[in-house]
Amino acid sequence: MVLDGILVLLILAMAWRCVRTTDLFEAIIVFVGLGMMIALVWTRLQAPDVALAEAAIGAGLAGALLLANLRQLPEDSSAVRWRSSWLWWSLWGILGLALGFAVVSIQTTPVSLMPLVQAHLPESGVTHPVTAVLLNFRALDTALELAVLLWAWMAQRHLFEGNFKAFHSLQGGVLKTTVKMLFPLVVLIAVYLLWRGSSSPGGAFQSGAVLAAAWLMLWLAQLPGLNWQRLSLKVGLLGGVMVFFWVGLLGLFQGAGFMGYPADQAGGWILLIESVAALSIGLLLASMVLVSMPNFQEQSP
Amino acid sequence: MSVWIYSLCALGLVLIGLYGLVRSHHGLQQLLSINVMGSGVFMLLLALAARHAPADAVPQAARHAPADAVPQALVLTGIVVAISALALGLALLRRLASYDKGASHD
Repeated sequence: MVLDGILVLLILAMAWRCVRTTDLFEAIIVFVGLGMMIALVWTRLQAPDVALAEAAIGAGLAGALLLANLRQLPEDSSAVRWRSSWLWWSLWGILGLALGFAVVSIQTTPVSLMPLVQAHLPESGVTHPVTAVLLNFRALDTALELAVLLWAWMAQRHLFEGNFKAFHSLQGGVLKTTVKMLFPLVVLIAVYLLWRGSSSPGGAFQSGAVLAAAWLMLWLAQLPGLNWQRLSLKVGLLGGVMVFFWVGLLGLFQGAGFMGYPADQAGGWILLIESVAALSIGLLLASMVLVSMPNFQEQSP
Repeated sequence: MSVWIYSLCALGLVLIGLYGLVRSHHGLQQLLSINVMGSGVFMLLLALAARHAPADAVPQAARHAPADAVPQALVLTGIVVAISALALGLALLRRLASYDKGASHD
């Protein structure tokens, strides 16, 4: 209870600092810290899956992405400036009151889908409810979310067209040796998170985020360089969405409906989708950060 | 009880994010503000999801009375969509900046 209060005050203060400060670097650092605090809140709210994803993606990868982009943005703004006026402040206040009323009134309408989820859990092929919702009951949402990630990556890539060939590696024997030792361990953690996901917190997103960190390490130290032009890498990037929809179509022909699986095979299909999806998510997230690196250069190393 | 605290915190995050979106002078900070607003929405969803499982009773009850899984799945999806939007927004900002630079130097 006290912890909740302290966390909330800290979060509100950090959020305020993040949007108020004039120093962009400070804003980013506070934002990353805010992400970690919010990950703590998710554990307090009994959502460990979300906490894992928030810490890895919301704080870690977002921070890397923001810092990589910071140096390449001009100091002065390209943002639209709004004039401060009583109209804006009153609109802000009215919206706050309306939202406050909505938040208060929604508390008294206890609607939960959890009984429904738990009733159908045995036929979903997994025993962890969140994984069951993500990959069985609402599989279409997850497939489309992968498609959104893929689309954002493609759009980002086309905005930097021609810059996407090679980059300076970070130098040093200590770094390379450390990365060589860490890489298998990090991949092991990713596989463990994936495997665990069927029965307890963990799964494709968390695993994918950890994989992204592993690949970023490898690419930054430029160890056995993965070639961007190689077919296997392109297949890896596209694989998640493709396998998801192929399995979805298969369900249509087997009579379980689009994106449905027969109950006895569901576990196997979910594991297949999750493995490929984790690979795709990892590659997509890693290349999103990598393409923003300041020392990206045109020619091959 | 903690559900109430976090619901109000969610409200605060959305309002702070909105304030930052309108008042910031830099595109990057506006992107951060949008993400702060998004975190507020996620927090409300998860606070509502946890209503049936009071956080005070975590250790014993966690296995038997977990929080609603549907909002949790929604938020997981939302986090990945949010980072996609952030990456795309940053890319657009950089492209915009390179156009501005080209226009002033030529």
